[in-house]
Amino acid sequence: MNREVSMTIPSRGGRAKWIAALLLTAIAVIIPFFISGYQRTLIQKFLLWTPATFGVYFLYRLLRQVHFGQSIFIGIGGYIIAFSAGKYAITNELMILLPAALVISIVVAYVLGIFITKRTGFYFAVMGIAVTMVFWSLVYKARGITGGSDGISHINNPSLFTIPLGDLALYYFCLLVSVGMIVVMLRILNSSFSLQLRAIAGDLEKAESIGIPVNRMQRLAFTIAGANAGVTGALLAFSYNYVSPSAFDWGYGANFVQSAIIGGVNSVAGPIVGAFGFIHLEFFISTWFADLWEIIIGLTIAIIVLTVGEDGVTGIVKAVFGRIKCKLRKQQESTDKHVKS
Amino acid sequence: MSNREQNPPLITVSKLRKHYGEVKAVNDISLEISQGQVITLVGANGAGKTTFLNLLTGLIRPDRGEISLLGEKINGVAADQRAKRGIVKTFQLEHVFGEMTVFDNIRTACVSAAGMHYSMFKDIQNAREINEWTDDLLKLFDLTSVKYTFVKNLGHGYKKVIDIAMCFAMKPRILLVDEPTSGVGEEEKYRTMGLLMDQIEANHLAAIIVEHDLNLVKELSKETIVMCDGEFIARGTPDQVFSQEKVIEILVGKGF
Repeated sequence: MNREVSMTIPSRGGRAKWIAALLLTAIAVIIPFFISGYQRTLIQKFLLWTPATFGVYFLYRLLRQVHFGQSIFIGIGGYIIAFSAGKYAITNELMILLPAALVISIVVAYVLGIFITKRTGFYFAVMGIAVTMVFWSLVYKARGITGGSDGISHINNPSLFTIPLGDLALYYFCLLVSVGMIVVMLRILNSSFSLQLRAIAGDLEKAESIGIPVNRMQRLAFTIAGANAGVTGALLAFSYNYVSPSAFDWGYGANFVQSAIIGGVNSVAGPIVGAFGFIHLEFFISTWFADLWEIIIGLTIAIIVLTVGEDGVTGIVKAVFGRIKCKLRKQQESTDKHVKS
Repeated sequence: MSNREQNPPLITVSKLRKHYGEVKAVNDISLEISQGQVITLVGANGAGKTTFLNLLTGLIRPDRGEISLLGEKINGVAADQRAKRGIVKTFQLEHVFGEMTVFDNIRTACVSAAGMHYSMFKDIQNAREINEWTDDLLKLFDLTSVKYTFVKNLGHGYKKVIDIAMCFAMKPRILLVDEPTSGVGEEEKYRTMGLLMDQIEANHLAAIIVEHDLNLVKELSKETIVMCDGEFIARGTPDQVFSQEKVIEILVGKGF
């Protein structure tokens, strides 16, 4: 049986993939002890960006739609935290706020999804941008409530089951949530739900004619993507103790699209690699060539798109590993021959 | 089962109308179809055959008229729900999921028929019933040899068969077949139709088959309807129908 072409999207990983995943998680667990606090916040940012990027990946991989609107839900998650743990100081309990951010972003995503998923392709992308702009200006203008362009600072540190969390503890909490969301997304990607989404992307009319409730499923997919971003937004707000309207900016939402492109959309590792790559690229460039940020990120993406396309950096890594494996095998063979002769 | 005569017909269409501006695509058509009844529908291009089928499946909404399934009015029922209730259509043009394997194509239909749309957390590889059912369908339609091939790499004839197999996964009551053999080579044409007719007969399904090849029409069914400008103008056995002068005029006159 030809395994390669047989299965639904994520080819069933062998043990190697599980080991790699566990290894990476283990590294993320111990790394705070070897790096500075600032570097840890970078890793934390990467961990939090991963779910939002997964949302973009999910919509593109299955429905072939480009989602610029992730910033809507980042913003919503962020402002929920800012209001309740900052401005109005209602509570800073994660077990209340995180589910609240999740539920509210799900509700908002579902309602917005009714309109946005009515169109596909180009118009889907533009609708996403249009809606973020509406949200951005609402938050920007409603100075009395949102603080306008100043945003809301002095968000209290979170607590978990009433135990206040320090920075390091928050890092581990973010790690836990991020890994949890990735696992959930992987499950969804392997489900019959996802199989049908791919069918919808393949041929909408045919999908409908075999009884797939096309509109509702598109809306649900959009909601799943939004829920991911909502969680990202909430925990980012706690990580920086600050939110501003720029969280709603569509340019910010585009960052997740860029991350997905960098990582590649042909592998489930794509969004993870992409978020990591983007954050670190941003960090290195802003440290050493601050003025060149736009040029470098633009060129990077252009080069990736032109050379490897949908495979992204993940594809490059895979190809390199393949080469090494091939070479090792050849060496093995030649030494075998040598021994024989 | 109660007396057959008392059962309502499978599909009742009364005074169905769909106009596009001046064009009367479907003009006050009435029709009754009972279980097991196979009707072929012929007519020149633009006679409204495809529109009529799309009205039945719910892909487009009628201006007027009523469609009932087993005596129940289904005008307001959406296309996907109608498919679930057994009104299933195969397409004239290529409508398959090219980026997926043959197996996944058929499996999608099985998943949908099983109502597993929102099953998000169960790995589909472990859905044994679905996978076995898919394998059965592949065997039934002679697709096992291309099980893991991407559909976009297959020929036109295969795609038609895959389309049909997906329809059968829906456990149809009535199959609406829109030119199953258009663009398919002569030899494959008979193979495809053979497969289709065998399954229709075996499951005692009703069917409306739109077909251009008059020789094929004669073989396929005992009943033929000729459509012209949105209306049924002749109905009967193929031999009866095709000997009528007005039918010959329409079919030949328009370069049929």
